[in-house]
Amino acid sequence: MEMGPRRPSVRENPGGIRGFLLMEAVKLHIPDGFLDTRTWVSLALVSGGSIACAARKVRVGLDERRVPLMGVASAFIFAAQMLNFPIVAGTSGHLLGGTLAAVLLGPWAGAVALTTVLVVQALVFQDGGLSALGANVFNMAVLGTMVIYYVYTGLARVMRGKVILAAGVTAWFSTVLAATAAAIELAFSGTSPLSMVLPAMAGIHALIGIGEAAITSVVLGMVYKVRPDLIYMPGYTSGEGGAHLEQP
Amino acid sequence: MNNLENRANGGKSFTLTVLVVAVLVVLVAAFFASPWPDGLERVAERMGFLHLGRTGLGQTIRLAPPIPDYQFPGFRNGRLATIVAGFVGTLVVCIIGLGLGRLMSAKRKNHT
Repeated sequence: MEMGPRRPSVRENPGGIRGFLLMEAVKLHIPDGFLDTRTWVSLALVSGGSIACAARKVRVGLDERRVPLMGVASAFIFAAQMLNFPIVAGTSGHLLGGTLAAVLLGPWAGAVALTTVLVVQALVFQDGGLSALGANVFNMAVLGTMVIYYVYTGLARVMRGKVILAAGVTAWFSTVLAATAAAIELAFSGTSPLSMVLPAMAGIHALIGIGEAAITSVVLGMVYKVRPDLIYMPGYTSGEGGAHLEQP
Repeated sequence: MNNLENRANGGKSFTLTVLVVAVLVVLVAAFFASPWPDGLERVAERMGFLHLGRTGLGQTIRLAPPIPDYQFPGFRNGRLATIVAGFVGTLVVCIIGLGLGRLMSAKRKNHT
């Protein structure tokens, strides 16, 4: 992205302005080559299975009013992932969006939404590797959305219904969780020793998570004002059947 | 009030608003996104495995993503290329998401 001085990234650089323009953006989306074969194959299988399950679960659960949201929430998350914000000198972060998806669409549809974004990013924009797609889906759609939904509902209960606050904390946690998983995967692959890559990843994403928390809270706060019925609330055993917001 | 209006027209204004916001975010990203590498890239650089990112399956099977690095081909202005890429991506994701959403709720109607 030609937006200012940028060091060359992973590709062999043809040099000059063409080289500058061909620079590949590596994001929290793991590119091909970072993970060894057994790791990315395993993750691809696990992710494939998980998302297939999620898709089946949605089939019985997605209520009509959320159908358009599947489109536009995914669109928003895609767009927001393009908006890198500076964290510390020399490093930027961007929205993951898993918490947003989970709170608005529930764990299953939310995971499918994130997966849609990730697949389009990898296949159309070369953002994230092809073999690494399973890993990215696992970190962001499975952990970052499905699992995070239950973190959110648990927190919302503990916080006695303060859903926006719960979502904010969950959003911070989702970033750290996804980054930790990525670090473990990198260590498993022998790409980098765990003792080094884990603190590095967790540390930087603890900071990026603050941005995630802020954006998520603000966006959900606005949705809450206009369409509180779209916010998933804990306290319903039927869960994904379309919750109504209780007054905190 | 707003809530009732929204639900009365089928939530269309809310849906449209979110989409418009997404488009605006693309514009903001094209102009103001930080050029600094993100968390993973930074760590990869520091830990010395960033160069590995050019190997792997995508290269082996010669996958050719049409809009690499969010630069829509054919635009000399990098910023414009990013904007078009972002619009296209947002639209594509929206359409696929909508399609999947329809698929996943229609079946429910047939469910007893």
